Amino acid sequence: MKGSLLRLVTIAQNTLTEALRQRVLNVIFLSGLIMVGGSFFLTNLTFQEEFKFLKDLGYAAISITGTLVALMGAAQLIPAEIERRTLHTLLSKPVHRFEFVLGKYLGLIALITIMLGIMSLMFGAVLYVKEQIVLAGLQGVAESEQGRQVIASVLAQSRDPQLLQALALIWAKLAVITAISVFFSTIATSTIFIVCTTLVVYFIGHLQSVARQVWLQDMHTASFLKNSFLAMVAFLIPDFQTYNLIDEIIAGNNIRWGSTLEILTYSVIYVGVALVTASLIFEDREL
Amino acid sequence: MVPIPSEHKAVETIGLSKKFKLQWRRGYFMALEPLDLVVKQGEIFGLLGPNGSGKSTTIKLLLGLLKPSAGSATVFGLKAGSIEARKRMGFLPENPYFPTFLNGLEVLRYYGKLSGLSGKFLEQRMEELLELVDLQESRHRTLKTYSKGMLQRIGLAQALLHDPDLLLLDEPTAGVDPLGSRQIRDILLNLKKRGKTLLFSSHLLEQVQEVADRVAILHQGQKLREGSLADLLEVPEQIQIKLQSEGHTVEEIRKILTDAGISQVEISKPQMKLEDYFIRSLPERKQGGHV
Amino acid sequence: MRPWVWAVIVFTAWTAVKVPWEMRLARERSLLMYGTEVPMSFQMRDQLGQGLTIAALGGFRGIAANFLWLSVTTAWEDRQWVRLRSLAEMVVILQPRVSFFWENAGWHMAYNASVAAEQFNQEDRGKNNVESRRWIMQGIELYERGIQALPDQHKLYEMLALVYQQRLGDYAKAAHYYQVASQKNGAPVYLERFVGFSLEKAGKDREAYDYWVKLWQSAGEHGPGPRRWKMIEEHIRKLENKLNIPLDKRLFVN
Repeated sequence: MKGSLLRLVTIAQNTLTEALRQRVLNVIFLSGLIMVGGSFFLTNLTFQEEFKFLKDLGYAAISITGTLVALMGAAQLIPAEIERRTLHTLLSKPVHRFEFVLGKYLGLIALITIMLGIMSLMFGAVLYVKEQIVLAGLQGVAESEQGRQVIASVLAQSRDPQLLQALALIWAKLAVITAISVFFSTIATSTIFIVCTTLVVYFIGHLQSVARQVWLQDMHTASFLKNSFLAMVAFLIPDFQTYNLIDEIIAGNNIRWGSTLEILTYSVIYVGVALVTASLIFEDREL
Repeated sequence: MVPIPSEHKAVETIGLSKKFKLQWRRGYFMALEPLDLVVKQGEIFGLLGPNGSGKSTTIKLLLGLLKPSAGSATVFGLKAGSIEARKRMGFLPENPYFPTFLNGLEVLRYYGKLSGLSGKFLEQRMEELLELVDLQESRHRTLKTYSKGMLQRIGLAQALLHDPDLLLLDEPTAGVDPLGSRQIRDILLNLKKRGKTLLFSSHLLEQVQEVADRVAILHQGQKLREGSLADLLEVPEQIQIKLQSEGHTVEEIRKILTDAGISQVEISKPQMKLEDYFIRSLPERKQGGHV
Repeated sequence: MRPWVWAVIVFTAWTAVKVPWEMRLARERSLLMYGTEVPMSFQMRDQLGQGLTIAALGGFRGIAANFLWLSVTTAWEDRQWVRLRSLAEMVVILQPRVSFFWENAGWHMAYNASVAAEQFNQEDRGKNNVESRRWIMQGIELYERGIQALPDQHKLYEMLALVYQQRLGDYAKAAHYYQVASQKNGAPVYLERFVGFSLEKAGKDREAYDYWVKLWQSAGEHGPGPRRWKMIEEHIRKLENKLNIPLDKRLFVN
């Protein structure tokens, strides 16, 4: 058990090192940072617009960057191990195959967590500077009741603790995408194939709730073919709309931590199932 | 042949075979016909054969990278491919590719940890092996800058980290220049001296001849021959005499032989192997290092 | 058993939980986002195409709405009111839960567009008034829809009250909406006074008086502060005189 943990950590560490020394992932990360920072330069807007636009852009930048890393990370690193046959060397050691799959996943999650952390800090800094600029402009009205209202609404927007929930939700969504990407990497060897299939799942995942509703409603009248297709989608593919609570948070509406935690639990279980399945399939694979 | 007691068997395969499904059209490709093979502890065993003869397949089956279609294989009595078996095996893959983003030291640490080593013991072991394969000076260079021979040697070090009793080497000298090749050969012989069992594959017959105690010859998935090199290569009905002499002595011998009624007498100067010649021609220098 | 058989078993077990769970999450989400359990895509069954587009935009709906909103602002600058109206419509469909979009879309209609409409026609001023009123009603409609999407926030009620008060002179309605607004969480305190002012302006002195008294009695302390009790006291005194409230029933006798 302890040995297994040590090997997991070793593989995860190595994955992280490899990813950090990879040019593609670094370029993606840098452009993400630039996007987050660039959102600062939105001009000509009212302060309400400004904060909403800033948050939308910031979160989109974080989410796009994270998604790209999640997609590319697994799709690049796992087939490379097989193709360069470093996997042969690795599996000639007393290492279980599931330890390889899990270790790779953990390494990628560590990478994503680090990138998310750095981008969030940057985003926080942008919000703070913007807030200070807006507040400086409001100094004249600070005495009146209306003015206090305005200042309170600025602070509510710039220091909304719910933004942490939004980050947690982005992280969970990325964790699921990474798991799907790792899953496909254990059955395929082509990077492009893995990226494409994961992308397809990503897009269908955003429509999954519609498919599910149509399936449940028309189950008795629809054709067998339609039913089976919709059922497949409902059963296999995660419902990415679940993470749309992020929109709500950015809009400034109240979301309970309970809801966020439930979605985190859902994500962790989905990831678990995907990884167990991936490991089992990988166990049988000939290398 | 005298049966080998099972406690002396390092590797044993019984009817081990592998067929691959062909894609697109139905049918199978026999990569390895049922193979019976025994490698004794402490010997150097060579798997000989051209590309695609089943050498690599056999090694992969022993490592558990492939699952046998039929038959079984054991390593020191343990199921081949099991974790327990792998604990006692070291493997040098063909044209070893290692994480090129790491340097020599990092690679050894990585594989050492995966082999269950850690802490001071691991660091000490890494030191020993770097010395053994003569790579102390290149330890901080990333593997991207290593030559083929150096890669092969770091590969050997990696395979030896956990001090395995059995070493599997897939084409250990393929693509390595003679000097590097000789260095590797010396390491292998040295390991044998320390009681390790070595199983390697090669298509370079000459190199096999230099180190192997016994060989098996594979061709298109079938084992054609097996035995000790001395037995296999002996030319029956011929005797070879080598002399440190010149001049009329040779003529006298020829006369004696002809008089005795032996018709085919061939006398020539023994030729050095080109490899030996090449290595002797090099200027005196420390062998190894930056090849 | 072969590993892949296990894989199938694990996945099947998960799917048994997955779909019901996702449905629960979706119900909760739709309750949160639209105030109703009916899933979004059913409300929009006729506009399924639209629903799909929105869904496909995934997490980037906000950005799409923002860019459309920039066009709304351009349309305003160019005084293209019809274009502004349809752009605003797209924005609020994309993000119905962003109060700011409703607030400003309604404001553009009820104020900017309707004021502009008053000068549309130099000759026929009557026609202008009809046109102007149409734009005001557009604004009111937007506020009302916004209120449906965000029933718990005071802002849109306040803006609706303001339109009735400033643009239509309907102080009774204004008072009603100020009152609703003042009861929402986080509503600024001045709204409670606006109810009384509006009732007085509507000529409903009796109601205004009752309201002020009730407001006065709802608090124990009447010291200085943002609730401005001094001002309220003056209004109560004024109305007590105006309505000839018997002395024994007055709040302030001297």
